[in-house]
Amino acid sequence: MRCQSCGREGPAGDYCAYCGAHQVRHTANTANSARRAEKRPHFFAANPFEHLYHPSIVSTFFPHLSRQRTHQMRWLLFILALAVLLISAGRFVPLAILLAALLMPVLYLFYFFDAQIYGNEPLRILGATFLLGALLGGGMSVALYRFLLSQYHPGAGLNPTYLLLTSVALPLLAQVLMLVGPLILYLTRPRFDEVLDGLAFGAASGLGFAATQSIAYAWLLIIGPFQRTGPISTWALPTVRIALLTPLLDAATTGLICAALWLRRDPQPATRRLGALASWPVVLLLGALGQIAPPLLSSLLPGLVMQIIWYALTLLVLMLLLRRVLHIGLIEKARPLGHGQTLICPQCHHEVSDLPFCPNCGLALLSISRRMRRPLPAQPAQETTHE
Amino acid sequence: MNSTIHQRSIREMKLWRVLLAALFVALCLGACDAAGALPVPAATPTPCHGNCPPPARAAGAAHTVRTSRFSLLYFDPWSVQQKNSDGVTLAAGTRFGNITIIVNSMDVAAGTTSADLLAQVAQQTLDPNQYEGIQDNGPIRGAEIGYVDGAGESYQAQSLQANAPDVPVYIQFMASVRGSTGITFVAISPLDPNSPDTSIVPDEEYDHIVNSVQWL
Repeated sequence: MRCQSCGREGPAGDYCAYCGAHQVRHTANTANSARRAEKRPHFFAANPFEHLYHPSIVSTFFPHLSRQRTHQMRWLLFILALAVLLISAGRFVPLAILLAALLMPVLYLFYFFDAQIYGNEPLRILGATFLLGALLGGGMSVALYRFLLSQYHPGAGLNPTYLLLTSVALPLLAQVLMLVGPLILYLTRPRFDEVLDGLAFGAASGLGFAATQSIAYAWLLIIGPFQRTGPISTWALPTVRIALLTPLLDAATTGLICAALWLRRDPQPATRRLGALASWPVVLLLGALGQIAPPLLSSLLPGLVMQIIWYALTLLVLMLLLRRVLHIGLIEKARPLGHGQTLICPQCHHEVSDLPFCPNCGLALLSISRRMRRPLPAQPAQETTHE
Repeated sequence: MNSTIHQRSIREMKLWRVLLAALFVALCLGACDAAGALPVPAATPTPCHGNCPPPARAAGAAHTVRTSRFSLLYFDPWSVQQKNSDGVTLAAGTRFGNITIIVNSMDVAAGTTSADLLAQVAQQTLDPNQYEGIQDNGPIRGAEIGYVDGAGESYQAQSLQANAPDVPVYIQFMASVRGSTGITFVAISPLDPNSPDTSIVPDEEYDHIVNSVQWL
């Protein structure tokens, strides 16, 4: 079948196995139709069963997972988040905070092992991402803890110095520290050159950082009474922020910057149309804004509910931008896995050749986890029967 | 046979003595514990009935701040954060953060009681957007400002900030009315007033500051 977008002959299917263009949507011979078929916004390259702008936490931050694993992870996340929420509703504050802080890092650790993101260097990769992120997050928070307390004057109104410190300077410093581990890997491990490697390293570093920072900042609550009193919302809403919003926000900003960084590094094929969104200055600006906006807005328009709204809105915007960068990267930088044989597509379960895209579901094969990339065993040329 | 009985009776006597001694110790400990569990608030000393002199303090430099309706003597480590003709905001640092004390004065309508003024200032201060889980810890017995009897209430809350340490906050309100003037005292502290820091014992400091107020 000849692709109407790139003109190459490929296996029959709904998608071009070379450029990923959607062939069914390419029927009308207009420039607009051709562009839409190439960009295929209805079919996210890492999970073609979702729209590009589907606000899914799992398919955005865990893009290597197969369709079945994505469902399992979604349920696991839901059940664990619900459990943490129920513990916080019971006002068991220290336990709720600790579990909330560890929820996303533990899930991401599962993902790292399930998708074998670390290749054959688990200790070094985990050390440079989760561990270094956690150490830097904890170190920064502990080092600045007393200083922050000394600058906070409860009841004295909005203090511009304190506002700039907690809402601008600290988030920017945090973002720089979250990038340290991934940058070390960028410089020392050139074989990890895929856009999803960048996302995974950045997200893991951000999650490690968020976990220890949340624990340090909630220290006086953790060492306080095991069960507290007061309205449920007082404890449940901050738990939601610690469990989901803060770690995912850190993962999103760091993952976005790292994804763009890794996109620029990937040498094959040459960068074509990555666009301004995947450029260095733009992602750095977006990452900085993503870090600054929630605490700044929470200070200017305070309240627990407002805090949740600011964090959730920022996370939503960043997640959609991240999906766009991943989508563009997976399409523009698509390439075969390299073994030249056939494998089973983990999304649609069809047998596919080692080409950049699955012709049946449109999955970018670089989004398949390293564990699932192995080729199918070669079929024997002639079967011998033994009686 | 007799010696065996004798030895047994001596052993029983020793056992009884030990048991009695243990009972005595247990009673003493119980009495101490009961006394601790049921504390009786000491009466606030009111040695004078007019414009009393501010209490003296051996250590720390003394400073005076004057507003239109009262003057206040305070000592280090307290410092003035804000000041206007109606009131003053003092602050002091502790290991757990800063303690803020706001002493304010206003003209009150005839018939306004200390309790009315207290309710008013508590409502203004306890902003649910600023403090979470506000909890009333009960009245402050013997509340007074500048040796004028008043009303007081103690609260506990949390300051759960987005990108900064979460701080428990203890808020104490006192209000007194004399004639057409009312003075309010608000102390906001990350320290439990009953748990002293190495440098500051909040309750003692609050007592000292309210007793240092001189009505003008």
